[in-house]
Amino acid sequence: MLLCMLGAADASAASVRLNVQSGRGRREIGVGDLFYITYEVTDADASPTRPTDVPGAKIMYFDQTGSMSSFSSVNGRTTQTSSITWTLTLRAQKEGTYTFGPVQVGNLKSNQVTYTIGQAAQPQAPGQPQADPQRQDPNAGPKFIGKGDGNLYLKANVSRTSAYEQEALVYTVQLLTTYDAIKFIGATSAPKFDGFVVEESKDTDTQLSYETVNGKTYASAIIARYIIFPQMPGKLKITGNTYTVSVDAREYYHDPFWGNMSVSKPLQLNVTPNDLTVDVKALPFPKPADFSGGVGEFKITSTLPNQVFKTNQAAQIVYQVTGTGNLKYVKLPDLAALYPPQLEVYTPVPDVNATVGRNNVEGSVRFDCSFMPLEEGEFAIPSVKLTYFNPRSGKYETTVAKGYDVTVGKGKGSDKSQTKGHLSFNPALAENGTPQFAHTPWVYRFPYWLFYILPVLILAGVSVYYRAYLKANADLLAVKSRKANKMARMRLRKAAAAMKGNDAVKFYDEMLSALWGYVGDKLKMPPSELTRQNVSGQLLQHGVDREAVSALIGLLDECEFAKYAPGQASGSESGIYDKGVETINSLEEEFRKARKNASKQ
Amino acid sequence: MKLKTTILCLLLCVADAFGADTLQRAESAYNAGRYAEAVALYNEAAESEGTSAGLLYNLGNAAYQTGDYGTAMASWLRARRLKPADANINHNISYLQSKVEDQNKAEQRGRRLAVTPDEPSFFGSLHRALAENVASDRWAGWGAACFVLFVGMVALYIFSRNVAVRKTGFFGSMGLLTLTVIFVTLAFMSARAAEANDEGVVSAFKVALATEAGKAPAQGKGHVLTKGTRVRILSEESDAEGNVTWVKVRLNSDYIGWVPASDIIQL
Repeated sequence: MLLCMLGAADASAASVRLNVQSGRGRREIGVGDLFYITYEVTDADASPTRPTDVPGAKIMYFDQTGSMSSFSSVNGRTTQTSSITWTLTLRAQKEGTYTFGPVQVGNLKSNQVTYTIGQAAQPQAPGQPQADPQRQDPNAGPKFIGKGDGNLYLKANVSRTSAYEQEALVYTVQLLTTYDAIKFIGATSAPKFDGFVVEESKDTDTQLSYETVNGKTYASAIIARYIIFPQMPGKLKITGNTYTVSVDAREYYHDPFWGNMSVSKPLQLNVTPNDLTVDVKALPFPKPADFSGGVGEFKITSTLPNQVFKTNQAAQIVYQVTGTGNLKYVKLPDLAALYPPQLEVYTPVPDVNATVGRNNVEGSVRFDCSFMPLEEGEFAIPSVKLTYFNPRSGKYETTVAKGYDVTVGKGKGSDKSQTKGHLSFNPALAENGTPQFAHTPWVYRFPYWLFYILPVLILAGVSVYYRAYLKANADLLAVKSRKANKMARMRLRKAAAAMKGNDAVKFYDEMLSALWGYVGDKLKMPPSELTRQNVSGQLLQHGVDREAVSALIGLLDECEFAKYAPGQASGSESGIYDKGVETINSLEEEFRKARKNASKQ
Repeated sequence: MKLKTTILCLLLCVADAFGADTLQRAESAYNAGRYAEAVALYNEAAESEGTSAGLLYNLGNAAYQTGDYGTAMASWLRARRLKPADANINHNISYLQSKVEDQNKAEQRGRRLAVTPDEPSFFGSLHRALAENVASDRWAGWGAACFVLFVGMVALYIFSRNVAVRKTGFFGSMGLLTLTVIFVTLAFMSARAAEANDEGVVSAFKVALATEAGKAPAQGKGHVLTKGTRVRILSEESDAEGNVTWVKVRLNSDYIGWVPASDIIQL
């Protein structure tokens, strides 16, 4: 306080300075814009008076907006400066270059300022009439909901209220506010577009602009932007969605000590923009036959890097449609119908690469078409026409992708096999065969299972029969064994008869058959198995005495020897006969003994 | 008795002549390019005399020519069940399938979804190769042949005295019995596969898959399948009278959803 007093006594030169400032966020002053002239009054007691007239502009307010004091102490000498700023708020009204001042403040005279008022600020984009909302349809006026009361509202705009089907339109939601700070803007849902295809644009205005509605200045920003494509003719309605906006409401008051003060109070508002109606016209009639469905401005190009091919080797041609409009709905004409049949072309898959810009959807659609040359030769790939509707000119227009002449050389394999290997419908009819109502598989039918049942039955039958046969056979051998002695004696009798008839060969034959036969029957062995070794082994097994066996073998040897060496004395024949009878008797005895032993055990 | 037989014979002959006549008329209609008439005649013949692989194949061809891919695919698939290895049937099925896949792809409007049916697992493809691609009767024939040989081998084992022959009989019969069991099992599997009712074909011009039975998706919503698409039928929903109204179908993991039963031909 003391310093202040001291400083006041030692005041430096007082002055008044004028300064021109354009409105916030702008460099130039346009018609309708706010701008400011500040009076900086330094070290003077007097206050400036409100001027009566400013050339080219209308005075809005005149107020003290700030004060500043500074102290400086140099080498023990303290100086103090105090300045008060007054602001003259003006609205530019007429184009031109004007000067203002000098003004008289107390006994001080200010400098002179020059300012230029240019044209009214252009809206940033065509069809975005944010400049003069007074001209809007009164029915489409903004809705105030909550505590909006004109301090904050939303306005929906559409770039054109009358458009063609499929034409790209821009729908924007503009926020207008006088609040200082907006903390949060959130939409509860998207706007309701009835009968439109919608692409949301991320290109919203981050920079604030200022505009005046009914004499009040609002900060404004585009908070949502949609590119919309009407899908049907008629009056289509767009219903605005509700936004929740949190703001700081600032209240100003005058404090006797601190001067002008303000406090901020949070406030939440629910605001809905106005509804809009778009009058959609159908595309002009008649539509060309080859209309591609595209509305906008397009250009088609074709790319085929190489014009020499081989049969049966897939090649690729690229059609690219670039431009703005409903790119996603552009269709290529039927290439299969255009191309020569020797080049089989497959349905392309579109690859849409579109970006949603401020006013339209732009980008490209790529159709990668692969085709297969089926035959050798020179062929022309025709130029491909794309017909679209240009809403700007209101006419159907055509863009052409150039065609190519291609040469197809011989590939691997013959042409025939390629066309055969290539899939195509085979229209030839087949033999009808014999139609049936039931197509029951064999496994579900009984006769099939006979293939299983019958062999088993046959096998079972045969084995039963075989068993019986074996049994019967076994009985037969037993009989033979029992009758072996009788048979042997019968044969011996024959041998005796031969001896009496002096027939030596017959005698020995009969003797051998009597002996072998006896042994074979007794041992149940077939004649093929009758050898000396087998017989002696079997006899020993049956418990026949070794002596009797060697006697039998000896006799057999003797008989065979005598049979094949005739000329022996006939006297020995009777001896052999007796020996034979004796051997058979002793063997019979031995078998009986062995059977007795076996039964005893 | 004799008179009765004669009358029966005559009746059969008349029926035969009538049937052959219908088929001949169908064939001449087809060759003259009157495909719709051919379809009607083939259907008539199938109703009066039953079906055969050839008849169904021809019906499919005629339906294909009229543009009715749903009926065409269904007929060919039915023909294939009767004659799985037939080259003509398989050729036209795979041709139409690739065509339908292209159309389904075109219906996606830029979305990138798979249009081929589910890739079968190892066992799935084994099942397809053994049961679906070979007629049941062929397996049954092999099974019966093996069984007869098995019985022969058993006979060798029982009746022969020669050890080597008996060994052959023993091990041979073991092997043949195993083969018989395998072949008969395959014959049953193939028979089951031929009467499976989980296969269907889209008959409507286009059908959008609904996420819920009874609720057709909004215009432009839902993945679209075009006529002739082969699908697997997962489940069915019936109304109060027991008529199937909606079926849940699957093409692959991208295409699963409900369609009205009237838009599907169930095999």
